[in-house]
Amino acid sequence: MGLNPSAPDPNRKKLEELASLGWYHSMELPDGRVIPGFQSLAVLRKRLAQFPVPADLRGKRALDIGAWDGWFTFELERRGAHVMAVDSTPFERFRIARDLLASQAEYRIDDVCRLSPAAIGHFDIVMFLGVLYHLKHPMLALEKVCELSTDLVCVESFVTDDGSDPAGKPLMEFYETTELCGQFDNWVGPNTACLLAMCRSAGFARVRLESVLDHRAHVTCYRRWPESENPREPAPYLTSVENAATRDREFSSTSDDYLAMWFKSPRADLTPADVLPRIGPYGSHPVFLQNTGGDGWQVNCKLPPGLAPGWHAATLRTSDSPWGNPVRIGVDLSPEQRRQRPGRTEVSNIRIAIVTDGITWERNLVHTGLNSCVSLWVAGLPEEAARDGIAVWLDGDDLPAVFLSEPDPQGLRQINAMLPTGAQPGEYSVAAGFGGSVSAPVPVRLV
Amino acid sequence: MPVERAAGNPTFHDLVQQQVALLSTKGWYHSIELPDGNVVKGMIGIDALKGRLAAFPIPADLTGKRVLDVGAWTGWCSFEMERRGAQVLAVDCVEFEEFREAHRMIGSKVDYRILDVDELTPATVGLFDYVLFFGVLYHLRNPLLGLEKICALTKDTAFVESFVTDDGSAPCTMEFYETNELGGQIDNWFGPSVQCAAALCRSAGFARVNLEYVSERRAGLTCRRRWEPQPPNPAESAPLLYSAVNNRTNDVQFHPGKDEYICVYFRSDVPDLTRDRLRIEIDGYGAPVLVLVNLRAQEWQANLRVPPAFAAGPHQVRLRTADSAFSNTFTIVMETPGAGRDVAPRRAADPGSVTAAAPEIYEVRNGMTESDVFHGHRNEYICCRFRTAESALDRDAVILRIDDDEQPVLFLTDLGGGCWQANSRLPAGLEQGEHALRIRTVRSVFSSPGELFFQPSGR
Repeated sequence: MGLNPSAPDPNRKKLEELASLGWYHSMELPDGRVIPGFQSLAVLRKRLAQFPVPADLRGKRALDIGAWDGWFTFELERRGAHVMAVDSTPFERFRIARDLLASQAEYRIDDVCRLSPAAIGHFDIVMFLGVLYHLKHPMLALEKVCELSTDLVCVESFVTDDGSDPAGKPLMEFYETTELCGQFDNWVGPNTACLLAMCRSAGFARVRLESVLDHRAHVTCYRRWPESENPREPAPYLTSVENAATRDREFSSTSDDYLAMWFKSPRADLTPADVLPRIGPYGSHPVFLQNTGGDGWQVNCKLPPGLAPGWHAATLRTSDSPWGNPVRIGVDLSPEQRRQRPGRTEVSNIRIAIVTDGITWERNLVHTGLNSCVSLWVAGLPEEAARDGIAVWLDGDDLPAVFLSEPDPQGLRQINAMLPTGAQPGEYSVAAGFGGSVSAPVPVRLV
Repeated sequence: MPVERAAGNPTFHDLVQQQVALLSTKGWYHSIELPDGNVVKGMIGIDALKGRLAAFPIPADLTGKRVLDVGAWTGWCSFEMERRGAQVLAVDCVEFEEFREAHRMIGSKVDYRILDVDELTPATVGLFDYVLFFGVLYHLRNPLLGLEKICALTKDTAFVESFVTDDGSAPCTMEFYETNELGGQIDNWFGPSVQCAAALCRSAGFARVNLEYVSERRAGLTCRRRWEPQPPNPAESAPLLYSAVNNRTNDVQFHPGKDEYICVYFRSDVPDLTRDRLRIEIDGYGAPVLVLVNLRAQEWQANLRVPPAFAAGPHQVRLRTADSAFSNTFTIVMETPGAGRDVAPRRAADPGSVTAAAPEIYEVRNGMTESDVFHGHRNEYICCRFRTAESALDRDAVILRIDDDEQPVLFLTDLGGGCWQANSRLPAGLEQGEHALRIRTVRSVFSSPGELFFQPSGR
């Protein structure tokens, strides 16, 4: 420790005065002396060492939420990061330490749930240590933290258990008054399983429990999937991506939206852990996966927070494959952005290559019945064509298009259109159109 | 009888999935009684709907009342409230065609809007005498935030019905459902225990929460914003309210967007006072006491959360015990959102308006240390205690000056017997040494000076 009462030190009195301010974090001064705090440097270093924070953070932006006296802020700055420290009330000791260390860290007084990328931007790394259990709305706070981060978030929280059953039933205690440690600024106590589940639900791609030490869980949350090196599986082929609720291609960042992604993969044994959806740069883990027949699959995942308004590429890979074909989705589109759909091209030469139904797969033959569809494979549809812009005519009767796939390797897109109830058997012709262009009619027999 | 968990319980899962299948064939969720006596049969029968409503103390006559039905679904409750005479707003997070159809068939005037719970604010939908919050709580990712929104809209009573995880014997916990653990449905997020559901309602800002029933994993809670009527012949004497201050800043200002707590200092001769026997209210809205401390003989401090949705401006705090009349009132101020905290000093009064004798300062103290020495710490405030023959003073009627500079009076309290206390901050840039503090009212000239000593820290 830096305090040595026997050595004559002109700055000793100053250090004693500083120490008398009652520090929570110990603080190492540039000359090597240490202001002793409630938590020793060894304790602080051990807390940080629970997380995979790189030793070199040059060029990175870091956010320290609940900075208190600021030891983590100054340590990340020492590693080269530009750091913003946030606390709900101002601490004079933070300002004193910042001056003593000649730190450039920004200091902002704000509540976690009020932080937004619009006000403070995005961060490569976010420290969220010792804050969660003081919050009344823990999910809201985790979603905010996820939204602010672009890569890595370190979450440390009180938990009610010892971490030995991280896959157990998620359960959270609620503290109405002073039940936890006699303090009335504690609101919730999750068990380790609940903390992990809430972190996953907040929108992170992957969440890893690092340790639980003395009722403190350390959880690393990643916004991105790693790239697969030397993939041995073929890339999945995405046939369609939709908003799981509204069935269109548009999403709202404020309404807990989910994507439904349809894809083909030769893997017959896929589990949710094998499917890695990605929207823009951010990963999102499956909340639902089912085989839709043969090599067809459907996966649902949450729209990850923090995407700017505009068009983003949605894709996915399996555990050992390269990324599949990208499909564009719109997030919080302005009317202007909606008009400027990327890839907009002149419609030319729409051509029906195949007509069949989804039951017998016989060419130019459709079986009538409840919920029966005519399935077309169509060439020449532009990328921006969406299901609600597709027209299908059966002898001039307009049929609603219920499904439009992405282009297959031959550039054909599948359209499913509902037959009218009570459609009579007979010879018909079918045509498809988009944006003022209509294909040549193709004969089809209804039986 | 041990209670089995609903989440992951195959019987419960099958039951919910049977209901989902039934719903997809039946179409309508609530049954609806038409004016001609015919009934459109839905998944839930008329008797079950009436039974659920009858479990709550909802008045039979709602003439002139405004009622909000959150999560209206087919709308049976909305139409029933309208039948009782209320003006009704029904809201849901998605639009139900069956609501529109029932609305048309009944000839209802219920207002129907598609809004999330997060979007419900007094500014967007106004205030309501009664709010129905049936079957919504466990679908929310932030259940306490949802209940705070509901409390802010409620003038009298909210009726909360929810899925619960137990029969009332389990501790105050909630289950978290990451995907479809509960009943195979992905739109369930939190399952509270019965105790937790009640605690969430109290924490949201309701004064009184009464559990009406627990049955088959559903609980009904009546959440009142006001205390029970004062007893007609109170047996205990009314408390004397000294002050009510912000526990963060020690002044009377409160920020509307923040989670603010209030410390209420009072005198009561009721022995062995407990927090459940206190009735503290702000403008008639009660709030439960979180912490009660006996400071000295008959001197008490109670901490509570400021209940939601007070407009900017002054508000009146008062308290009583369960069996006493109300105390005097004390004024706190809700700030205007976005406005600064500082109170502008006022000009000296017109000498012609002097009608009262000058106050007499008998004590100047540092509020942190109770000495007369100040060091410039952030939480230091000046307590100036004085005597005056005037009564019914308020904060705006007292002017405090240190040397030649006026300082805003942050709070004022009547200590009884003609004694008062005014609190203020130290001015910035004070020189080391003695300083003179004077006080006057809007009707008097300044008092003789009291003294304080400034000894900056670190020197």
